[in-house]
Amino acid sequence: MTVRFSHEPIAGDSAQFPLSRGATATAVDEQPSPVGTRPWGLRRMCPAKSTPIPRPVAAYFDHERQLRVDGEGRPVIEMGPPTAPTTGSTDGSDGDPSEDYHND
Amino acid sequence: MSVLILADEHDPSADRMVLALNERGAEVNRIDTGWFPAQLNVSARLRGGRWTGHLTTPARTIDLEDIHAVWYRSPRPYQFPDSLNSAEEQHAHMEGKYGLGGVLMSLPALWVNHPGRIAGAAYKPYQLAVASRCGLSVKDTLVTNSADSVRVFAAEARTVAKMFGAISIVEGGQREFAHTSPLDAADLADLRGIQVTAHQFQHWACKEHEARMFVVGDEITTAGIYSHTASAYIDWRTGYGTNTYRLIDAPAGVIDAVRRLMAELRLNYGALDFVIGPDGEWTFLEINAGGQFGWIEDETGAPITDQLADMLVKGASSEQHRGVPRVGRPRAGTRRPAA
Repeated sequence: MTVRFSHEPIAGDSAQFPLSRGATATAVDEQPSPVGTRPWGLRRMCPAKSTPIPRPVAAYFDHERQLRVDGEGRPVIEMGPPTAPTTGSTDGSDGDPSEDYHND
Repeated sequence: MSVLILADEHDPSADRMVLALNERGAEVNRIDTGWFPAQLNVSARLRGGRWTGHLTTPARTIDLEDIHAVWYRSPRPYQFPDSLNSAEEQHAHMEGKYGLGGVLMSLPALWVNHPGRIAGAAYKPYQLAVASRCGLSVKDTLVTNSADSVRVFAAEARTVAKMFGAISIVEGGQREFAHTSPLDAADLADLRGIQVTAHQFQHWACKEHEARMFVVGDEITTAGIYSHTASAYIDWRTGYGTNTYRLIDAPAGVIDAVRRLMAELRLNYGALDFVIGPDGEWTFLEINAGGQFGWIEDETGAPITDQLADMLVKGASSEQHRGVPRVGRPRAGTRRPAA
């Protein structure tokens, strides 16, 4: 079955060829396919460099104020720019929610 | 009249937009579609050729008829109970997508940007073709799953490999990235796996520096991006900790071509990436219809949030719904206060 843009919550099927971002996470015990079967482009995949990022404690989304606040109700964004401008996804697609910015 | 923000609840730029719209006295409602169905209800009826009714979140009831502008910022997929089996989950998702999603996408509001147009603009080959027709300089590009085609192409000029879609995957519990990278002799000697899917290769654009141009309706703001490491010179996304940025002006010819591109793609916002060569030529790399701007706004004071907020407040009645981009520098006094 062709899955068309299935994980995008609103955008409909494109008049063009099917485009599905889909889920990109494998099961933990899944291994890469052998060379020649694995798409060549994935050869260049390298582990992300970890960057120590200070994060607010117990930040949560405040539905009344419609933004994230810390445990004392202070807007996280007013404490300064996010400290992790990293690349996690392409625009419009899923991304790593642990990153502050999903730059592309 | 109200502004609807559709964004992940973990989105700093959306947090800033809420504050900016509050400052303007606008009624703003923010929804993460990931709240559906547990924390988001929809009740809509067709009346007079449009959907009327309400969206209900834990704290708000949103009248569909009041929404005059929508800022679409990659909200999450719907989150269904874990108790559903895979077929049930797929069914629930598709019904939610075409039901709730269908009501939302039909709103006669100013969309920044409409998700259907974002989806269309996401095709890199389509972008490049439109950009080239609109007068932007685009490097020779190959789309292929043929190793022979790769070798012929690479023999013509220095060549880099680029992804069409996501540059990262999560495999074996670990996140990995594949940024733009040059092909070398070892790559060309072993191209096994090319045949498995489509791959993108592009001739290298000699660069003095790079730029990200933000188009917000008729406003254009451009930031030069200056890399300071070998890897960031190839792909600046590897150099967030070392890149420097400053606001610059783009040539009038590039601006005119970008105006045409935005009109053809029917986008009200875009983040466009360029290489600026030693000879001053601007080469188009890509347009990101939902492109990030927050980190450049922090670095340069570029008033992108303010420009977007102004456009959203004006809504569908604004000429900017399909306006002519105007080049401008940040207005005095709009720089965000230091933390």
